[in-house]
Amino acid sequence: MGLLYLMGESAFNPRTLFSNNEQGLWLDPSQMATMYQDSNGVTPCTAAGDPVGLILDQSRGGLGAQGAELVTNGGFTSDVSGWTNVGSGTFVWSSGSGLFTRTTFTDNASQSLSTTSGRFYLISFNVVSGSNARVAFNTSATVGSVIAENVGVGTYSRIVQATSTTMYIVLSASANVAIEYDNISIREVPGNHAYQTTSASRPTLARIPSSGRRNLLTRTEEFDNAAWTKTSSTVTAGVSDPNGGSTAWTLTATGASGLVRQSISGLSGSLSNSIWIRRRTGTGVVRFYTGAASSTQQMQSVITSDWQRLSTTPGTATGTGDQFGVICETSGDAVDIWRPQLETGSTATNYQKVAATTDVTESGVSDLWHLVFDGSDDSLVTNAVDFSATDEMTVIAGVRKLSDAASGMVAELSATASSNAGSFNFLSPRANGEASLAFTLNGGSALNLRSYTGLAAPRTDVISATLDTTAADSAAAIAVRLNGAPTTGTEVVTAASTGNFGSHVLNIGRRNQASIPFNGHIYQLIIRGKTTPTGKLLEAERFVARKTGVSF
Amino acid sequence: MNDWPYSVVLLIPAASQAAGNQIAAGIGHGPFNFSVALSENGSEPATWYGCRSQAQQSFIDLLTAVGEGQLPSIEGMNPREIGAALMQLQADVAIEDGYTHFERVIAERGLMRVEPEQETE
Repeated sequence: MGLLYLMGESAFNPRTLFSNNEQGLWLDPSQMATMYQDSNGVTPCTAAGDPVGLILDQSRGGLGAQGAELVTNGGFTSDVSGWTNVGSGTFVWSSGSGLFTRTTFTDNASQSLSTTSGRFYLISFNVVSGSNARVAFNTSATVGSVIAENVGVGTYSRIVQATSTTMYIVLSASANVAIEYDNISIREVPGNHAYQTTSASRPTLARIPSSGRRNLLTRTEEFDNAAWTKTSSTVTAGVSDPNGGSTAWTLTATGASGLVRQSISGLSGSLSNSIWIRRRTGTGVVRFYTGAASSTQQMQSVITSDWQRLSTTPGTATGTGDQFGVICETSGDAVDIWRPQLETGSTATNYQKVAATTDVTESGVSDLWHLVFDGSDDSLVTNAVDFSATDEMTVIAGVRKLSDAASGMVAELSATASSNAGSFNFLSPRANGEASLAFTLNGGSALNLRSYTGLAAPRTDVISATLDTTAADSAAAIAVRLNGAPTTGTEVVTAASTGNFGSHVLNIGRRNQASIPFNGHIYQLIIRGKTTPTGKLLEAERFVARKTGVSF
Repeated sequence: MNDWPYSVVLLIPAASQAAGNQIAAGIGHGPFNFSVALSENGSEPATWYGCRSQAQQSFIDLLTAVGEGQLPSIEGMNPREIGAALMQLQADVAIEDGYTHFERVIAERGLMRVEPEQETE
């Protein structure tokens, strides 16, 4: 029974929500291959901490469901037919490649393509020889809208939006040289992809263990990082560790009370601190900070030349500058240290590596990948999503809200839902200083707004909303479920409404890329232009819950 | 090792917002980077604009070079215009949570966000 249940849950694929061509999107940060650091799909995301400038909607299958090949004779099998040589340069067949030679800036070899404006296309090509290749995806057969400049031999890909129904792939060079091109391909990547062209406004890819973050320290395997204060001491990497690796460090006192430590504010309650340690040289006093301000506990009586994981008697946080670290009181003494951990509670738990606040991992525990929106200027946007054929919408999101201090826009269809017919928004919290979330629905003829209170940050939830723009009142228009169960909420604005949703951009993380920044994490976001039967909705909620670290 | 370890907050006076955005775009960071409206009491009009981002070491090096008077070359702007805008730029680099960092930096300068009315309609 349990196995079947688990199999059923893991087998659910949110793509099935879109199998009848329902309009919408599914953003899944746990699929690394769907994200890029820039908005043109040049640099893939490869690690936690990377900015996300483009995340591909998976509701239509993304890169795995590319459209038909648009380029004619991109492989130059026997000639360069299908390509037009523009200008005074030359474009000739050369042993299975297209050899372009430039004599002036405007020379190029190009091909027109039938595209859909606003759709995204995967453009890939090889440079077989030459070092100054220049490729453009332009609305005319000229060298504009360059997507690759001065590139040499290699394979390249870009994901670029068409801005017209006729686009041109333009092969050229950055200098008056010869370039051999091959395997030119352009195929649509279906979906409503979310992107951010502004560098400073890109959310950050992050992961935490599904057990949640417990280790309150940062840079736990980089004692040389500025996050650690070193006083009268040196730290040396590359020391053999208890696992047979070389990730431990040596702390050497270069004066009296040589120390390495971190100071953390804002903590409360009992704190457990632990660290693997062994004595390397000397016999002097070794102290651990207990986590309560700068109080310490002598540990030299239990430290030996063998590795041990030791903890102090738990300290009680003062909330201001509570310390964690190790002190060697005698100059010249040295200890090896490894895997420090400071956590709330009185018991040391399994170690969590904190490479950065955006990269926390625990051995044997699955990662929960998400996008961090900084509550300042981070946001994503899609091109217009055409929901005009429906008056129904399902929104399912795995969200962690970090603060209730300021109203936060998780997602909003259109620039401002309250003033654009056929749109909605999802706020968390709804208002400054309010422990709430809310949905606003603008059916065109009237507005409905419901608020759900008693939801104090920080908290992580799976939130789903069924929205209907043709409804008698707000209760009929907006039905919200919190972690798999219905919740009624409070009516803020209510009216009978009619009309369909519209074709609007979807803003994620800020209103209209400008205001009401969301301070929190998005683990999953599914928006479907149709209501979803309860059984199917629960399946989807459980899928999102598993990706979000929520149980119900 | 995280390739984007630094949190950077940049602030520029409202009068230099357009120039700041032009410079940011000119060095490949896209449009409208200075997008967070700020003022002393949170009311219109904005007197400063800000942005926050994770950054690589190369961007910190660029900020350092600017601080030492090495100006980037920006198409459509002369060195005088670039210098005038960058002289107004205030930068803060930290290894800190992004939200906390931005809020701390604007508070230290006596600034608040200019935000629209709450969603109560």
